[in-house]
Amino acid sequence: MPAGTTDRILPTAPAEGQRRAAVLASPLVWLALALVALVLFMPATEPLFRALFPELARPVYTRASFLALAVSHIGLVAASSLAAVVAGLAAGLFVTRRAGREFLPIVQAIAAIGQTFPPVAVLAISVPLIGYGAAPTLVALTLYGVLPILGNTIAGLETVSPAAREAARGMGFPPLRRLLEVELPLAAPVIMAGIRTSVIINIGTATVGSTVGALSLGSPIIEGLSGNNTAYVVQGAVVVGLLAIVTDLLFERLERRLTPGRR
Amino acid sequence: MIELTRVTKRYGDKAVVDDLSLTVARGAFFVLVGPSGSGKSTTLKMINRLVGIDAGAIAVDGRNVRDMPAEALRRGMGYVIQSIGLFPHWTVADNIATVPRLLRWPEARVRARVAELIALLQLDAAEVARKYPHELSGGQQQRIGVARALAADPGIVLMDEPFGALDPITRDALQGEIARIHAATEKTIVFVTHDMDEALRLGTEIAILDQGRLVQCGSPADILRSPANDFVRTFVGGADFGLRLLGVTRVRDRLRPNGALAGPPVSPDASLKEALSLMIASRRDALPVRDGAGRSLGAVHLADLARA
Repeated sequence: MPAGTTDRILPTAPAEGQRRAAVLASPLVWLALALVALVLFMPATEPLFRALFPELARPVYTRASFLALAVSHIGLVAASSLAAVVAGLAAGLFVTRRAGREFLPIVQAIAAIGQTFPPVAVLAISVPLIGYGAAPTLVALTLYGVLPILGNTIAGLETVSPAAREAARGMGFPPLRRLLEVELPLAAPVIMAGIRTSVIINIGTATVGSTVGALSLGSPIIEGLSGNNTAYVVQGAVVVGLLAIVTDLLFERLERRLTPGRR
Repeated sequence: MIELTRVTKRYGDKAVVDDLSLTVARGAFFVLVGPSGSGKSTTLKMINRLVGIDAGAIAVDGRNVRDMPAEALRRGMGYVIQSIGLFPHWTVADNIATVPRLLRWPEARVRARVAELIALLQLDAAEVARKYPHELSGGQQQRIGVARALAADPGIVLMDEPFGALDPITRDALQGEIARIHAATEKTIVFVTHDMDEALRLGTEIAILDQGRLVQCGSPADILRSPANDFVRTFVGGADFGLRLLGVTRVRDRLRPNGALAGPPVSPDASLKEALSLMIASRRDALPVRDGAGRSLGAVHLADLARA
């Protein structure tokens, strides 16, 4: 990044003690601890599930450890989201530059239509093309994840006030610095909201990947559904749900941090 | 010095600026005034190349603006717009520092300059510098807009209806501010407005535009005393014409060297309009004239105001 972007004069940070109190009061911390505890020590919940579901012979999913499931699940989501962020941002930037303006309507139309596609359908289409396993899941998650990011990148850049844009031009910002220092920072909260939506949807959708052979937190859910083991379904669903909530809260913090002056 | 030579700008078939030639002298407060659609904003934006020209040439200090990189040209000119356009994600201090940082000034010099401008624009530094634009009133924001334009100490400042969206009291204060800064720094200011009173108050030179053409160019007094045609007469005239005429004449031009009078004193540099207002308010038909040091220079009489 060019010189001059660092060393901004920022308002003073809150005091140390205040910050520590805020950390303890935050639901994010407690939920994250619950998530980690469940992932690491799920077998320890056996008495609870045995009591809840006395008819089941094996009330806790043990085919793979929840740690392995969670790592694989997060890996699927992270890889596909990263690809979706790169593709969505690149496409969004391209169609809002002068060179790509012509493609804006068609890209917006594709993004809008794409959102109405259920993710399971994308998965069903990619299996015959790529086969079983993690690969079709990654493809489906990436394709589906691009759409909200693309849509919000375009929307975010278009919401940058024309006055700030004109001022930046009139002050003598070259185009790249105008994009990096004015347009993108101002569009960042909206773009980040798109990434947040995309990642959260993908955390849920990745569970469906287990139907085509990917290892994910969906594995106990799928196996529980097919084997009539409600305890497995509950275990998988609770961990996925916690993961989604914790991720969402993390994004909320990030978005707030990206909105200086409007805190 | 800025020279426009037979400049034309067309949008489709319509020429929004039509064969316009103007010379802005160094140190002038040059006001482009006209009704909406007269091409005054377009003319201003052609000077810093935010708008390209279709025919003719614009030269700044003898150099054709087309021969300069647009970014370098713009960094050498201040730019203030009606919608202000402060960067909402930067503090006031960072906003003011925009152009010095683009010019890669050392950070210490940037900070010193920001402090200087906050003082120049009479913004309380401790209170304002760390705030974000949305925490300020419209008037304060435009003060920052002006400070940002002056930050790199450009020789030329372009102002596009900068005070058009402000309330009358704030506008009046900022007009006074910019007049003071112009007098103190001798910068060349090109100022666009549709408000004739603002043009008369601020301009040392006024160009009246209509439908992209120059109708008349001259000092405020020239334009009021000898309007070029009916358009100018209508534009500057109306019920306030006489008061506007008083507004462009100084008290020193009607000075009578007679003895000390009672009553509130008036400065020789005040306009006759201000003197008249003071006479009416104090119910007198003559006022003592005193300079800034309090020396008595004579008097100004009501009977002399109507004199041509």
